[in-house]
Amino acid sequence: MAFARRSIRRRTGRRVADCASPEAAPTMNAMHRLLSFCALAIAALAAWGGSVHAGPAATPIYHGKLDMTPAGGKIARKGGGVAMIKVNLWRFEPDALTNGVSPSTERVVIALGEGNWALEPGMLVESKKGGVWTYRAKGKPGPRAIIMLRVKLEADGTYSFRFRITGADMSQLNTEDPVCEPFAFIIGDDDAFDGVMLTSPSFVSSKLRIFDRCTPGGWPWA
Amino acid sequence: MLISGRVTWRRRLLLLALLLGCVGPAVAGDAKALKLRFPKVVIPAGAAVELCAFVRIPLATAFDTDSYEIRHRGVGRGLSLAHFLVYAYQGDDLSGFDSDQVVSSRACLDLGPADRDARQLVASGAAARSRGQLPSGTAFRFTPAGGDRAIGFVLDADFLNGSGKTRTASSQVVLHRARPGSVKRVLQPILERTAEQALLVPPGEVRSTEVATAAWNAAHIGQPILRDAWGPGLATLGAPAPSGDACVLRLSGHFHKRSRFFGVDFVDGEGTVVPSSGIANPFEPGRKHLFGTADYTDPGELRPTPPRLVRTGESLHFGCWVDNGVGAPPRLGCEESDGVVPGTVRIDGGAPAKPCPATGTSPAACPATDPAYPGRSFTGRCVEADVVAGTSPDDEVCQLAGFYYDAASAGGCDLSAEPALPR
Repeated sequence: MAFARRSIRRRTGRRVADCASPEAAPTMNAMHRLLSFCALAIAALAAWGGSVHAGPAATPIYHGKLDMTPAGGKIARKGGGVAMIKVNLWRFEPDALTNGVSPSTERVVIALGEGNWALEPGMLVESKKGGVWTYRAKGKPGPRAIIMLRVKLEADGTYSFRFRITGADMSQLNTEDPVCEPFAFIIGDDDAFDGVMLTSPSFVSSKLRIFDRCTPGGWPWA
Repeated sequence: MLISGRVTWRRRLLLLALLLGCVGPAVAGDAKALKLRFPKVVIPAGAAVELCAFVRIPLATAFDTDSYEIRHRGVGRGLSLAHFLVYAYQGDDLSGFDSDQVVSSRACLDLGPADRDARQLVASGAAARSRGQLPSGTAFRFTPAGGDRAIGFVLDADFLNGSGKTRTASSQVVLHRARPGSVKRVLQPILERTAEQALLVPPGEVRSTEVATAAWNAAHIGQPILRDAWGPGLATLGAPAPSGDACVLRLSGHFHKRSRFFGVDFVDGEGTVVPSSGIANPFEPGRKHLFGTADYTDPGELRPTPPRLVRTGESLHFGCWVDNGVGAPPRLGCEESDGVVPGTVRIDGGAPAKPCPATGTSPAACPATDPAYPGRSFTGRCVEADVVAGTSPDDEVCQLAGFYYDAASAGGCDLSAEPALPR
């Protein structure tokens, strides 16, 4: 099934309240400032090397929808097929029954194939105006890291996100093409997942492209 | 052939080409690639159908291939492939296949002779265009066997037409010849069949080949035990096992419709199963396998990267979990003795029950004698039967399949320092 180019689900939807947002009750402001400071401190300490963990801390229970557009990256053929993946605009629509999505206070995980890339609570920093959360790795990130992640709450209640990760194991692309890998975007106990089809122009090219959905053989995090 | 007028050099060349083409069937020994075509087929709107075609390729000498391309025409816009598999037939009865037919068959088990399960997956690709290549230095070798100056392939295409229109599709597979001087190891087949030898599943049960084999071993003390495993130096039933350390490049399984799970474990030199965080066994909670699959029509493959080294003393243990009437209809067969469930274990010289369509007295389906079953007599009743190993699609097999190559001279699976095989 082909991607829908920049598919945007236009529908009326309420903005999901964020406990860390200025919209919270006035009595929470002091606590909010303390939490924000702590979150910033944690984010600053953890910014080196991104954050790669063995797996999601909790199993998501609210399963939303994923809207994808073609994406790309680079694969190091001589490096055993380790790849950098760059996604510019994908959308996450939370499940209608969600108990809330809070990118700055919940653990955020990008899962691709057998690998997981995680940001601990507080590492995604919300903008002053609210509604946009950003993480950028500082210094020299390790070989397997989130280089950047940006999450934006859209007017229709969906979350658009873009990211760049390194250290993805795409060694299978050295022997077959295309390959289908499971992908998930997880914020706390909310997630959206689908299979992504990856390809390269040849077995020696360093270019990598995500061009379609697919049904993978399994879901490693299930 | 008479040609009037001046015979130009172009016409001489054309004549020569025509004469060469008339000498006999083209043999592909010098070809740079083998091309396999899945003929154009018609898929009705809304249909989900698995189609199978046999392709016979004339071949005078061995052909080494290390890469392939697959292209499908007509897919997209609602027509898709659940799987497209290319099997190399490795049995002894090439003439048992009909090359002119496209057959609708689950897992292509209704196509070909009794040893149709003697096949190895060499390529696959359900995308409109896909390609594959073997690790550097390795190649498949296709060799015409016996008196056949040909090799055979089974193409298995599982179509799904989600559109509202009848659609047509065709496919082409190109197997590229390996570059001369590039091959350091020819991949050897893994085809191990011991697990099915003692298989017996009574009606109304789900039973594994592990349980069946253990029961048989316990009842036959003093006889060579069945190991249900493949590894260097192990006696096998199927393709010869390696004599020394081996590098497993691909691992898969062969089983039929009543097997609901196929699992493989790695066993170390002490005989201990090495725990795996791989595929969960649906019948044994908490147990996970190095490789596992539940789809007999598309079992998939484990392709370890780098290849999995199996040292002398180590092995790959495998098993099937077979269902005879629990989650699926039971096996039915013609009763041979009053009150005795038909179907006997292969390793004891037994055979599957003669199939019949429905339980009850059925003189038509179960006559007293049948020339197709010499030496056997029947009571006239169709009853629930044991599931045992057999060659028909209604019986079971449980086979470990795949490919390996002999380890490098210095040990391990890195072939970069190995010399190329002589041409």
